[in-house]
Amino acid sequence: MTVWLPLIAKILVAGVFVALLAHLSSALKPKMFAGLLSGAPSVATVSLLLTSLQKPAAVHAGGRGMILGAAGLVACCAVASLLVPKLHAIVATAVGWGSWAVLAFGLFLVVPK
Amino acid sequence: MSLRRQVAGELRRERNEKVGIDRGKLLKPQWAHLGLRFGFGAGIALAAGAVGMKWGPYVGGLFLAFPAVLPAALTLMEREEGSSKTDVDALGAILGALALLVFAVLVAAGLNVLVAAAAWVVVAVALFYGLRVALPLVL
Repeated sequence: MTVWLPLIAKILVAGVFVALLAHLSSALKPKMFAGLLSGAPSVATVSLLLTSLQKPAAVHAGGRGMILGAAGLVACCAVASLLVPKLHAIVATAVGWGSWAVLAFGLFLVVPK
Repeated sequence: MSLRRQVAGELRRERNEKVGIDRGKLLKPQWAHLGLRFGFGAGIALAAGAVGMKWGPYVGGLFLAFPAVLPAALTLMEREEGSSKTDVDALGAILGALALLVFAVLVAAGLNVLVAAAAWVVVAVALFYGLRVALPLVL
């Protein structure tokens, strides 16, 4: 139970934080400024803060892993930005997710731990 | 008019728009949209947490930068405001993602998470204003 409680707390707090940030983003103008929040460290901030209370050493390792994921996120947003004018947003973001996975896991395999 | 021109026109129009908040939208949340976004955020936190428990924090950290907000944001905006605004929003997301890379590097370097989050805000806003100044030169 003690293992699951922090995970449940992370899930609930991260879900609320993402929903609040996304709601704030929908009310911000201009749209390019609102778009910044799509790259906000919403889940990361909550998750790493709660981790730092339990296992401070794990935060550093989490940050190193996140560098690879963040590089994937840049690729995902760039691909989605290129495809959105030509395809539906859901298809563009699905391809973006694919590019995130290729770059993030590709870097994971190549970059020494 | 081609879509590229539409997007360029949208960016020029946005350049003259002051940064602000639509209070009407802020005070009238659409609960279905909030629920969808809660689901994305909770799902990614679950994936990152479960992966971290199984394979360690380094692998779990990878998922902390998963594009959780982008799909719902773009899909809902496309439905409500059209594809040229969606494209402009995605451009902003690239800047946010670049700032996230800085956040991750700072956390990996041992900086406090809240300080790194504050740095994200500074870098993201600086990139936004930098691009705003540079865009008229390239469009």
